[in-house]
Amino acid sequence: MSDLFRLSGYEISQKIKNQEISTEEYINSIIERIEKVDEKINSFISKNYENALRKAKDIDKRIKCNENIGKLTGIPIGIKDNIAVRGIKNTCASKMLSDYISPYDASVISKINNEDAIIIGKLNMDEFGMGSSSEFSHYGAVHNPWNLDYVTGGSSGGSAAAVASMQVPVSLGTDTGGSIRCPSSFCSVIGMKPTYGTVSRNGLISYSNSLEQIGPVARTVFDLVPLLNTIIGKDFNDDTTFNYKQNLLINKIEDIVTKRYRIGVLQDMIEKCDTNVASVIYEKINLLKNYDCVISETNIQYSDFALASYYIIASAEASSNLSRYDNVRYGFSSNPEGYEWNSYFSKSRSNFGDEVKNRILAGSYVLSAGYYGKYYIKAQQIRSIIIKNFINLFKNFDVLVLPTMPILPYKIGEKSSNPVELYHSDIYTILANLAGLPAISIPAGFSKNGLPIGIQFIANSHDEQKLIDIAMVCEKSYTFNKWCPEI
Amino acid sequence: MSYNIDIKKLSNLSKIEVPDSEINDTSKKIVQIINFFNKLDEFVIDGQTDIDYNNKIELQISSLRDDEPLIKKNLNGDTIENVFKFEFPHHKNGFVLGPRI
Repeated sequence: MSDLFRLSGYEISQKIKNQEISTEEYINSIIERIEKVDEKINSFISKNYENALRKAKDIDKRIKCNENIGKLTGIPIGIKDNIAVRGIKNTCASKMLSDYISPYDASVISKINNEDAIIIGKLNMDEFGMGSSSEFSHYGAVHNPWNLDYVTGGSSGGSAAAVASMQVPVSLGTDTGGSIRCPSSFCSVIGMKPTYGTVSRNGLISYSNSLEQIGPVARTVFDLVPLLNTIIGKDFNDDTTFNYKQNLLINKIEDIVTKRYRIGVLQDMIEKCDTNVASVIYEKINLLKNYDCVISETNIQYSDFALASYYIIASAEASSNLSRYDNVRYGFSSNPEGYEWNSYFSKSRSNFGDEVKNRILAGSYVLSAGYYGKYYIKAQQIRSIIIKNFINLFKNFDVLVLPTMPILPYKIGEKSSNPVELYHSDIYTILANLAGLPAISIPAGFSKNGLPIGIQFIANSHDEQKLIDIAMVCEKSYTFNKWCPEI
Repeated sequence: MSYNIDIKKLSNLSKIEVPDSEINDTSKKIVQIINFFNKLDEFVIDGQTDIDYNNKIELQISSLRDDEPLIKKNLNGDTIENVFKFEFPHHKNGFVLGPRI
């Protein structure tokens, strides 16, 4: 029974429902696993063991009494620490919010709780989601389970590392410019950014409203889909959510093959990658031909300008969103009595980490009167052009394929001193955020020195089902769900 | 192209204190970032690239909800539900402590 943590959430939920094991027994094995492994990984900021065990006992009681139970019964979920869970610290991995306890649940948390999933803790990340390596956390860097000296990618590094190291079967992350897909690629798990407006952002501590989405991370499609189905749908507390609810299915391979998906290969982007990455991506694209997919080459115009546009928009929105942190309404312990307002405000905010400060300063610069047109308006114009490009591409293709990351995971501390060098690693993930499109990162293989590589698929808005189908084909053909690091 | 950015003025605008010892390093990083943003100078606006807000997915599909007040009050004007209780870090005699304005 000590290996229960190796099972998928789907398998565990079935065993609990069939009373082969108790929820309490399983949650205890997960706690044991976290206590054993996480001191090496550093994926958790807060642990919620007491509430988790209380809920586990309640679920067991209800099963014995034949009461209704949810579709995620007994599945432990880790939550990125920028999503509000009532009564638990909600730090965003920042000193600014180190003492902040959320007074309410985010809408996604209410939905998960209604389906009887168990929130086991809050996960480490780059401070406020700003970063691509999960090194910029007040609580220390997250370590990659495949090689502890390497970064996990970010900003949802804790979400991906906790799943990859089998501390939890599934987790929630947020994706502003690849923050789910990048760590999923670096940690060899599946991570999906849904269409903008599919999942409510109510209760997400926002950094860039027009770009970010909450999404799931899992080791298998069988866990990803039920969690995604739980969190999607209209929410009256978030007017960017739309009115219809998709019911995503795990289709049989025979049915998927009949759809003859048209796959556009973004050739230029693959060729610009690290050679290890490119060869693995080509290998997996060739494999899709065996499933009657129609493969042809294409490209996206103006993608060279997308990265700068993304960072201008994200920094501008960050400088606006983070202006609320004045250390009076919420913050860390620092008595304001006797201070003058401006000096207290500025002094408190100097406790943001370096990367957050850089983005606030850059955001203030691009929004200032003399530069607004030069940077912000132009970035929005390029964003419009890129959206139009995608609309045209999806007249001819069902999905587009490209690497998730152009590089392999790198050593902790190797790139953290140069912000622009780090920004360039996001070049293939920010496209889906600029256009609001759904995208998924699927484990594709490993480099010669054993570092994970992810393959990314982008679909038209609301075509998540196509991404799920492709992920299912990959899982069945090379069983990436069986890959696990030795820790 | 290299830019000379007045980091003191920018930090004042952003309400972030940058200590004198960190000005050079911060300034260097912000100049790197702004130079990276200047990539957009190479993009020529052809007059037909206005921002097309119809491309925004949420506006095509979403409809606005009715505006309902979050805080409800009873006949005496007392708040009765849906109010979040914040724990302010510093308070005295029932008032939230803040800096002088």
